[in-house]
Amino acid sequence: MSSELHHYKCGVDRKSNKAEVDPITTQIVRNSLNSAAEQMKRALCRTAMSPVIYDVLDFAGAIYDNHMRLLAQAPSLPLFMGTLNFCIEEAVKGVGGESKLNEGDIIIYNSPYGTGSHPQDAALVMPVFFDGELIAYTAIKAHWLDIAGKEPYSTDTVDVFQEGTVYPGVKLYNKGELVEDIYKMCIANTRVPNSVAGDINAQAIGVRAGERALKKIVAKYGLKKFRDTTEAIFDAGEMIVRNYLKKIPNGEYVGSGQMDSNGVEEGTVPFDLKVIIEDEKVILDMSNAPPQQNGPINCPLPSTVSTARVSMSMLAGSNEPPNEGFFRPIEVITKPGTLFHPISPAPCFLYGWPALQAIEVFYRALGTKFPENVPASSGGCINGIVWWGIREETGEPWADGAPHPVGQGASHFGDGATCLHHAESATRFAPAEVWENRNPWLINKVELIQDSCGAGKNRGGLGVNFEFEMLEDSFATTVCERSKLPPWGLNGGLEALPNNCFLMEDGKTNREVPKATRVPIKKGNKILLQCGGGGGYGDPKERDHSKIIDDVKQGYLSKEYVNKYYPNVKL
Amino acid sequence: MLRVATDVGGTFTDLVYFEIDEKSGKALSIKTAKSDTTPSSYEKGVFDAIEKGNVDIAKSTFFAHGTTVVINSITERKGVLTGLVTTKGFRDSLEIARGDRPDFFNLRYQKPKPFVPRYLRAEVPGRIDFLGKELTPLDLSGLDKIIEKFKKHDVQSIAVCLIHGYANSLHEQKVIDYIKSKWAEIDIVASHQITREWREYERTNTTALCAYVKPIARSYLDKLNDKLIAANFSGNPYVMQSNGGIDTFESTKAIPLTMIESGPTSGVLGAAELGKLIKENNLITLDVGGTTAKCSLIENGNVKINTNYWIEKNRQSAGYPVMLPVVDIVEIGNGGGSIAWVDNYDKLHVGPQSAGADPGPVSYGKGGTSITTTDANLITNRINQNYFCGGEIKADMDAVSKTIAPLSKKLKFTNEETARGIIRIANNNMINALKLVSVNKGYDPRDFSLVAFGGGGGMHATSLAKELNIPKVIIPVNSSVFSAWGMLMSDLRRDYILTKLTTMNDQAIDILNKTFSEMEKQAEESYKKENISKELISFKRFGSFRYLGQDHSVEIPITNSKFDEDSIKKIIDDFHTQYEKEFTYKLENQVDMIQFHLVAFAKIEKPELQERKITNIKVEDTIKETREVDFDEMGVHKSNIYNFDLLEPGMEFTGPAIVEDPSTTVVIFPKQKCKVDKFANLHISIGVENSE
Repeated sequence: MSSELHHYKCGVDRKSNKAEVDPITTQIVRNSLNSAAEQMKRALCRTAMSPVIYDVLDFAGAIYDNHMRLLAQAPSLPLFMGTLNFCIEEAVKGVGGESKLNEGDIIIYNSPYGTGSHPQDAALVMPVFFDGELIAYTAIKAHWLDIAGKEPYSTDTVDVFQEGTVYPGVKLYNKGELVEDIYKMCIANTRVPNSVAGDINAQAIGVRAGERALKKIVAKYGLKKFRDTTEAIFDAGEMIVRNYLKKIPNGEYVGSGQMDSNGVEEGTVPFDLKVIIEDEKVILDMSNAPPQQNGPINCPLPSTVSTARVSMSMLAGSNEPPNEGFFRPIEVITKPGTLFHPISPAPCFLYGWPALQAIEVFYRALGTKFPENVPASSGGCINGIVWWGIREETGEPWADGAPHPVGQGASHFGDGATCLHHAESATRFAPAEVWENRNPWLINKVELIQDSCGAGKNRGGLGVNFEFEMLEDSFATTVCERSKLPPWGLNGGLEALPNNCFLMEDGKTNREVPKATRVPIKKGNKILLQCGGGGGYGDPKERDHSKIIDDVKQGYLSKEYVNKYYPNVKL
Repeated sequence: MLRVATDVGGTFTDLVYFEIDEKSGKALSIKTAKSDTTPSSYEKGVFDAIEKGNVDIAKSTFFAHGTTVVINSITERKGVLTGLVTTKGFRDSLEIARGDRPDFFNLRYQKPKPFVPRYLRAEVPGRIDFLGKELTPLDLSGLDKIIEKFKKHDVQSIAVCLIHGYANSLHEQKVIDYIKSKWAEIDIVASHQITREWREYERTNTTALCAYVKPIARSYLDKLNDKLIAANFSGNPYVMQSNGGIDTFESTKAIPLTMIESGPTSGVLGAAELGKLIKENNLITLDVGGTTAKCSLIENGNVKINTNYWIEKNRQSAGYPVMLPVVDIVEIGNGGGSIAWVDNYDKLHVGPQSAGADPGPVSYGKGGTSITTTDANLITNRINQNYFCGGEIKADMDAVSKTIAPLSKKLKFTNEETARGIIRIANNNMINALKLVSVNKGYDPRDFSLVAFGGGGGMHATSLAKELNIPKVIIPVNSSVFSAWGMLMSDLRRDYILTKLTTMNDQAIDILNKTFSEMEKQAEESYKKENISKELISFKRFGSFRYLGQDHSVEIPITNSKFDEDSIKKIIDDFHTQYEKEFTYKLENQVDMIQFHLVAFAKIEKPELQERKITNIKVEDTIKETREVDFDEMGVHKSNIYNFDLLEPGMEFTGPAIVEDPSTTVVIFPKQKCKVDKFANLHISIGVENSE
């Protein structure tokens, strides 16, 4: 293994000299590009077969120029968004480079080391030509329900080959014609062929919708003006992040976090990272990460880069959808062979979990010196559960899966929000009334957990309990991180209740199953999913008493909790 | 004989009335009046307008009313303190919502605050499943304590929403019966009375909002009714509903939330009625007012209705769901009064902030300090500087030049360039809204005509149509009061919706027969209670269907009155076709009906629109002047200014041109052709190809 460090510059620079551009046209091109990306998303959602795409929005769609610079993306999964340039780059390499691209081609690519994800997240990449010239790419990376890994969902893979079929950059469409052989391979390598067939179709419709919308914009303004304008858009994006970074003094800030386990071995996996601010530049130094793990919590480079892109976009974004310019002041340093830059064939099925931890540890690092700029820890996980079984009445297989929301960390600006999807922002969870129709279960409660927030001048958001009572024998794979290290407070704020997942058998024994593969659940038994709260911000002594009294009145806090954490308050 | 419509807006209360010829039933004239809206008691503004317009309300046989009383109570958070009773385990549904954060890079995002605070959200044990089967009996033993607590906290209204209450309303009914037996005077509403559609968060929020506004809306309609009676009004008064119909005061008072989009829907309905008259079935509507622009789409003459409606939803907020049939409208903060501003990165924006009516645009000369779209339209000479607001106001162009200068400086533009920029940005905002109702839903704009109305519709419609490849723009006559006209063209409409999972096999025959006939009986009874005779009632049936295992559903019209094997087969075929149209694929899977939807209309007599008289005046004689108008990329041209009021059927002319009346300006670009139809509506050909 190489001991040399890997430096990655997150944003690509200007490709042409500054030209005079009209600010109105620039603004309209910017809006039109965002609208084009939105059209990709709508087309995908409208035609997708799987709720995981059209309800959970487990995908990202974006438009890149021919230098693989992000022009626009539709609101979807932020963590995916930061990886799409890698997907395009590798997909194009896979088919033999730019010279092999034709108008109407669509490439399929899902190698985890190039997408940053597990194999289930498959990217479709379409080159966009204008008057015969390659001018851009449209790409959608979306989660397929199954891609023939060893289980529908795993926490215990030991190499990447157990995790699913790999498509290393092959043409699914050649000059607009479906490549039947490849298509048949895709359909053959899944437990749910109908759904995958439908979702491939939807992704193809999505990238084509983006292609069409983009060509209209270029046709309207001409290629030269379009390019001059997009350069200006990137420059403006770069200024947004630089202006934010200006406010942070140069220095090195260290944060630490941990993974509860690597999935196959006992023991926590602690890691730390360094955020280096250097003259309006930010470097995320992950080189001190532990060695790559035997279980699937390794986070391939593209997702590590994405954590830096997402963290900065959230901090500095100022209400503006990110573009390539945002990424120019960002660099990432990794060490090949480690948790955040694993080498094939290290397993990486749960790549998203370390990535999400890294985003919050990034904030934690900055929080050591500039607490007013960042939030305290959230519940810190998407608390994913995937369920499956065979229906008693019909003998049909069923499967479903969902992330679950957690409380958000408090910040200088106020209390944390309750029950939000932190990283999967646009995701909505299913209504109990619909869910009970879909799966053989009863949902006994979806309720806020009293006292689950971290105390502070501003308190964290509350967590939430989900209780599922199974009406038929079934299985579940659970992935809840941060069940051991509670969500931290910031600047004197206190810790919150961590995540956990309990199997309640025969109405009595509670077994902890926060990270487990293929847990059998007998008919009548229950799963209690405890989604944690957010950490507090600032000294609890400084909290406005009327807010504490109101929290007790609303039942958010118990009197005992108040006596313990806010002893000066008279109830 | 008179037919009167009044529309209470944010700033003004509009009144429109027809004088009807008693013999022929034809409309003799259409007249309008305006008064200030009186927020403390809206009915006062309504009667101010009646007085101002010199309307003898005793002679009126028909009175339709559009009101913002519900939406204002909600947006200003001026409803009453409300309690909620729900199923054990679910009192936080209202607060947890769906867990999404639309502003997806915002770390400080806060969820919309629930309309019922947690301490007033109570639970009762008892459980029903999705088939309506009782799993655990209802336990009312805790209700006395809940009532006591609600009373102690001075709760004014109660919402009841239980899990799967749509499938079986028995538990909800028992809860409200019990509460009423103990507390007769309290306002109370249960979810099944509003809708019988699944999804507990959406339904609970809808019920909570309904309870929140109920006492206020009830008392408002009572006061208005009292005033009408005092003025010797002898007909039936009606309220404009969000579903594109009108309904009686009585029925509206029970579920007042149905008035939530009372204002904006009438314009869409008007467009659909106009479409019938001029034989245009596929329309995109654009209503540009002072603060917002609203778009909707009409396909084959049908106004699109949606029960997945959200208020206060935008890129920054998840908003609040309203699970009621609402005309599918996209509204953006982009009207004549929308303010232009330049951000820290020298980017020009228009809206969503608005200068309102007071101080209004800078050109009003009432002390406005922010440049608006209207001001930009004056600078480009599209709006007549010498005939501003029909000559009522002298446009203060000095103030406009002074106020726009700092923006121009920041952008390094001349004032004219800045004005063109403002119009282009405003148009771009509206284009994105129009795309949301058309392109993004799979419709090709080339198959539609754009009907534009409201104060600013005609000013922007031709540029928007050009950009979106819409071949024709229609500007209705009296376009500034078009919405109120729509209200006079409405029938009574009640929607009944029921989620009931039904596999489409042989057993479906009985279920469909039984369910639709029960729903029709319920509708007939409700009309009967209000003495609406049976002959006037007609029904439209719809069903929502999906493939087993899919959440996407499509609603299709069902034309059968009785079902048999063949009709079930036909419904399935229709579903496959429509599904493929909307989602681009179809499946072999089993088809399930998930929702029954019955629309019960009761016919109302309507005035027939009068054609404009032909006096054989020449088109040249309708030109009031010529002026230099700035058409942005198409240059500055000396343009004919036509007087809208003088145009006659059959007239034709070509742009560059402006058509004006006191409240409307229509911009016609060079080479665009304008024809006047028999009612004096303008039909402007944009010069783009049809899709065929």
